[in-house]
Amino acid sequence: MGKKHIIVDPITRIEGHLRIEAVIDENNKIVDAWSSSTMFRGIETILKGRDPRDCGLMAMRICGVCTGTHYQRSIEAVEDAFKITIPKNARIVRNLIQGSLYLHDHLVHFYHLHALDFVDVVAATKADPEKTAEEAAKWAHVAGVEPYIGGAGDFKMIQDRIIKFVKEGRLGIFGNGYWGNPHYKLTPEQNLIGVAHYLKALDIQRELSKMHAIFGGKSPHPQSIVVGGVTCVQDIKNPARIALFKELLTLGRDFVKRAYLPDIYMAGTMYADEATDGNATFHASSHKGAMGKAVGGTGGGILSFMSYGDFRLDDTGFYKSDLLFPSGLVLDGDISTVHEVDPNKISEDVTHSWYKGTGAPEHPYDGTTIPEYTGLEKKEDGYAYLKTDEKYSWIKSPLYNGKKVEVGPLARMVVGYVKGDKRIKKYVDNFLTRANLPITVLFSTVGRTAARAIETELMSDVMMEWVDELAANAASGDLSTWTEFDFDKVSVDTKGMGLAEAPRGSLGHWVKIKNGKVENYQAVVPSTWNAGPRGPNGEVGAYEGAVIGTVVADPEQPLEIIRTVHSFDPCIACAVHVVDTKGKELATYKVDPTCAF
Amino acid sequence: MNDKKIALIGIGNIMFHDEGLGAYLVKYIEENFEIPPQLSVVEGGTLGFKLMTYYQEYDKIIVVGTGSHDGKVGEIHSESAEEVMAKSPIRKTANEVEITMMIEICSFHEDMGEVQLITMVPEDIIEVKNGLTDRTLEYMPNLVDVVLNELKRCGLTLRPKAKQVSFEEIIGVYANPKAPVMA
Repeated sequence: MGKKHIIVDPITRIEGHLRIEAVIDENNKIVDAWSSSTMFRGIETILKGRDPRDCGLMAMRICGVCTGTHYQRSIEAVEDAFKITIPKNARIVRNLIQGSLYLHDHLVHFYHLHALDFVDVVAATKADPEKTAEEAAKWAHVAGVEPYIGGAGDFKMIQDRIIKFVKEGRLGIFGNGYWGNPHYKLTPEQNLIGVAHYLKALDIQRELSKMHAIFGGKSPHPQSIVVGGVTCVQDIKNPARIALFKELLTLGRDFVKRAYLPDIYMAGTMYADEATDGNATFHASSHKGAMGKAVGGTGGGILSFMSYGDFRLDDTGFYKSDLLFPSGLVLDGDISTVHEVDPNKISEDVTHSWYKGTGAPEHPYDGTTIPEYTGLEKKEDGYAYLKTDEKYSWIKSPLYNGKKVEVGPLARMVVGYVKGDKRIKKYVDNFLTRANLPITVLFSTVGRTAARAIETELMSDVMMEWVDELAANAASGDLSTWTEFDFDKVSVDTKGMGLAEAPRGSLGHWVKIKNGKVENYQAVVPSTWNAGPRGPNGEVGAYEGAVIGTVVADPEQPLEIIRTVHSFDPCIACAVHVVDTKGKELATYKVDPTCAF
Repeated sequence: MNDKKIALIGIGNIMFHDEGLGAYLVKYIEENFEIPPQLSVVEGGTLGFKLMTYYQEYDKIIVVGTGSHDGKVGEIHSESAEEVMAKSPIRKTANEVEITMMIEICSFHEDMGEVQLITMVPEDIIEVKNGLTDRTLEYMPNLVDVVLNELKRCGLTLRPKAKQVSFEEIIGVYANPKAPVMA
């Protein structure tokens, strides 16, 4: 028995697919890993030469999951270039639009794209509905609430449905799972709670998507944001629209507090052993950059976090306002220090990416996208492997000051916490106290998933404040939604950046404008930070580091790799092929897609 | 006549050449035919999971886009949700994978409508470019006919409008979106 390769392969060659190549030792521990995307993009080229005021409408087409965020980011890059400060109403409306995206994305991600990495559906058929109701109450009480579904009869109905589906062979997506894998750790009752909430979340997401449409304009593509502000003045003036928004938010928030959070307490507790297993981490490995000591647990990864910051809380302008999510960096797991983000230190390296580059990492303002595909290496076993010493991904390797960093909800919560942000600290501490878990539990796959839930609760609460703020401001007679500017004057020769946070992490758009037209345009998206390959000196990427150190229960069922990659909320579609050293394909598993990047 | 609520959804990324054909198709139908109240025409782009609501709120959902079938450019396939789910999980675009996953997720829910997926084999979905290849454009009228027939099967016969808009014009508007002019 030698080392084995586990390959997470793309479904096909096109569009944002991800491959993870991992090497496991004789104890089934992942000792090395590479993350590669087989997509080729260069979408930015399509934006060159356009009127910068129209870019947002094209930029939103980059990705289906972050549509509204790309749209707003592009517009804000142009506003930054034109030195425009948008009115208060526009700021709050944008916060509400983005906030509703967070709620919808996080909820759908957890229940429909990630929960089944923890919840064994088939095992739910063995649950006792009476005990399930008791169990649901137990975890709701940990969260300090009453359970969303409380009756044994309700659980029985849901269980009957699962049994019927299993019998009829109509499990659909559930048909592909690794049911029975020893790394599923919930009891049958807990599994039944998970499935019940999965189904309920389908109803809730429907209501949440309506929220987005209230201020976002004609559904499903948002249309109400323009350079200078927003166009939805009629909705702001109309108390019935604001009341409807609040009603939908109340409904969603109730589910977040009484189902989502209790489920996270339940999963967090049941999976706490691996979340705190210091031996299963990248930093316990002998990799370059690893500290050789235990910090966090399974799936923790590189432990360097970045947040550009987002959701302005006052009207002093971009990069001056107080933020709901502060900007900053926490590096190498050192939670005693936070570093400020200097946008000049952001660059993209192509040493391991299929692009030409200019020999050194490029700042996005001057970024180039010239493909140079050098292919994979077909070995004797007939299987094509990544040339991991050379170029092996279509994703560039973004760096902050030469370092690889992780972005996303965990990064936002960690940066906010270390920075001493009162609101974030309150929500994180409340979670850890109630769960009776140490803060280092967050440095893990389960912790990344918990951080997203904590952020969802925080967002659902603060949005209540914002709706009231908007209503009060409109009632006071301020109906301004747009700041006027002289386009010909401001667009002669300028540049700007839209740096903020999409639900799955830091998203930046950079635009250079000359004589009223876009001269250069680059977007660095969240999954580039997380899924990017190694840096110029072998610096390990966020996905790569998160997978290293993990023990796989059964190499034919790489559940643990999928669980960890999913915990980042990846914008990719991929399948897993497990091959042994002879290249024989042992298993195939379909992983969810969520977006084009 | 029946009162079934029907959604016609066009999907695909308009930045990847022929991948945008579903978006152009539904826009073409919307521009050139009278749309009765029980029919919603939705240009879904790459919205994927954001479209989940339609699968739950409509009785019949017709999804149009590019397909992963091997075949000649312009070949059209029409499949039910059950047929889509029974296929192997090999798909050519992220968007297509998303649609399949969404059907699978929603199929577990009692409110799932009846889904028909109509796809056409494209010529090029790799180049980063707005618009359609000439060959794909040539076959668009066939796709219109298939969609109109599917609607007929659901009891809806669409009446053409007096003024017709060409695919070229629709593609032109998509390639050059204009932000509203503020006063």
